[in-house]
Amino acid sequence: MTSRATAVRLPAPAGRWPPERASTWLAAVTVVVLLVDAWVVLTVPHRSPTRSFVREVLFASSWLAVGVVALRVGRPVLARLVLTLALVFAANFPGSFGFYSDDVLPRLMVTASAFLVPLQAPVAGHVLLAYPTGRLPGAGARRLVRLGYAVGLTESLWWGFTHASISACDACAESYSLVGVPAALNTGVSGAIGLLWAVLAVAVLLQLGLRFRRAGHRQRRLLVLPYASIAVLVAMYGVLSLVGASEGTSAWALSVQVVITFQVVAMLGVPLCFLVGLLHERLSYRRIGELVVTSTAAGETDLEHSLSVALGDPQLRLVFPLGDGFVDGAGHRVPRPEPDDSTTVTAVDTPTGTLALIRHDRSLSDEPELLTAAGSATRLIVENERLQAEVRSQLAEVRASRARIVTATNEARVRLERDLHDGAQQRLLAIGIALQLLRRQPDDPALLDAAEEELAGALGELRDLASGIHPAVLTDSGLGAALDALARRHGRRVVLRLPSGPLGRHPAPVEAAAYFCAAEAVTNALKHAAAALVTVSARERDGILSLVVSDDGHGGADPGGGGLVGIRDRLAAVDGSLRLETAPGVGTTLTMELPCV
Amino acid sequence: MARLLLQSGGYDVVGEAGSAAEAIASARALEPELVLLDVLLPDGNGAEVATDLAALPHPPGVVLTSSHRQGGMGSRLSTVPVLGFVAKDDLTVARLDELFG
Repeated sequence: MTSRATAVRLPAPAGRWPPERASTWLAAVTVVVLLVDAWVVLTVPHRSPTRSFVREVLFASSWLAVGVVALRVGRPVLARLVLTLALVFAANFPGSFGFYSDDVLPRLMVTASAFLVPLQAPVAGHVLLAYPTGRLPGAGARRLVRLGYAVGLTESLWWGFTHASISACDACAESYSLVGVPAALNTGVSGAIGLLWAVLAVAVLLQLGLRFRRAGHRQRRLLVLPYASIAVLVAMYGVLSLVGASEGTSAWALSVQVVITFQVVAMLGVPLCFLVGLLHERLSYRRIGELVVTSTAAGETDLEHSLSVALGDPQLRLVFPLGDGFVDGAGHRVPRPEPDDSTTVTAVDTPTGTLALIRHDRSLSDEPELLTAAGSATRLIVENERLQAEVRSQLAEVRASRARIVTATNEARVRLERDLHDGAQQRLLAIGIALQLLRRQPDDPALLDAAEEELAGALGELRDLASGIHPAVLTDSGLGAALDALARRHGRRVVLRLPSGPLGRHPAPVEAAAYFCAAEAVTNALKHAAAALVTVSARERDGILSLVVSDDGHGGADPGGGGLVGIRDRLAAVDGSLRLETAPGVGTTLTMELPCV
Repeated sequence: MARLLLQSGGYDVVGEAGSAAEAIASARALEPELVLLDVLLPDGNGAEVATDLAALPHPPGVVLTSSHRQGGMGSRLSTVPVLGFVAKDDLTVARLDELFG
């Protein structure tokens, strides 16, 4: 089963009584009942000592605390269950206090207590089996809980109508619902129900043991404290039963002192263990939060380990899809993670696809919020790393491009110096020499011809050079005219195709980039690809200026070659892009696109 | 044009070369007495050519010339085995006579 971290949602609130609201009400009612208990116990004389009242209030309050904590840590279903247990405890204990009064309130409390006492066991069993989610994990557990409630309700009716109170003293407040039954019948029914309870208790213990054995490492850590407390409780009960049996009485009839010790340990120890379990789990959320902070700040590399620690799941594996397969954090190929008895797999999705797969303890699936938090943290950290890598690579590209532009500029200066030296300068010097000679032989027509020729040559070369630096026609008349001049310079080997309307004017950097890229592409095609015909076409659409230079040369242009890299750099400087199609024997087509709005 | 200048000064021009390699080859073949050598050559540097020429069996006297003042070589000029240097805009028969002696 693969669940999706992003798709995980808490179940929709059920009608008007979502578990959060029910829990809040249960907690409030429990507090009110405890206050009423206190008032009655303090105002009505009773048989039991006050310290047992303190003990009972502590017991009910500790379960109240567990319920409130469960609600606070985002386990409202468990909270509802635990608070139900707290309410049952709070409502039933005054029944055993033996109030010396015939007032309505004490009698009502005794009546309620008589019906509620038998319900403690099934609710407690339900809490145990449903911990830590509040939901029963399987058909076996559900059947057990249903049976428990059936037996509990049966006993509730029996006990409610046949027992005046647990303490049952003659002068004590009596239940309103007391129906007299023969003692033998009472003993028989109670015995049968007791036997049923014993069988159910054993079944519950087996169920818990089985669950613990199947649980993954992380879940075991959640279960170990509450289960251990139950185990201790059962062990103590067993010892007491044995002692009781050896004395020929039931465990409950043992000396008051032993029973009280037993009760105090059980009453306070068990809820304490549940409380610790729930709070421990809460730490995971904080660790996830810290994980995001530390890893984004310090560039955490072993995300798998960090997640594993944060979620308290040493079996956790984190893999990333790559091509057809998966790789781990170190980049090694790994098989696709598959769920097994104690683990399941959750995908961390982004709008563009699955970012990672987390194989984790099944118990994490019971905590969709924690899993979503872990998924979000993973997404945040991985995306962050990816963005950083992207920025680093972009920065490296910009640096390289800047270095290439500087180099190209320097090379252009050297070339310019050379061109001036070899061309116009030589011709001007020659004119100087000719003039020097003409001073001696003023009538030599050959010298005059030579000087005139050199002058014309020097002018022509200077004109060409100037147009190579920045053609005046580009500044004056725009890209269309400049491309036209470029094509004319190369004669019939270069054909220009322009749209019927004139090309618009654009910012100077865009026009210059377009012109020089086209000029470079044409030069490359003629010089390196031995093209017979080069076609240059230009058009504008939707704010994009497209230039296509295609040739019929021998193809196989090198995308990393100086010419193409130069073109790409020029285009990149104005946010343009280059597409290269080249194949041996077919020629080369360069498509350059420049945003021009 | 340099040929015309030299001829007008009474020098006998026996050969011309367009590159460093060509210069060394024709100097070896023609064994000229004097060579007027440009510093900036398409395939090399005049100073190197001058060194090569000095190593020939019949080394010619060499005058370096360039459109740059000092041939763009600065103090390096003094280490090259040449008779002297003349900037191109100072290239006159009188100056050449002075250097060639």
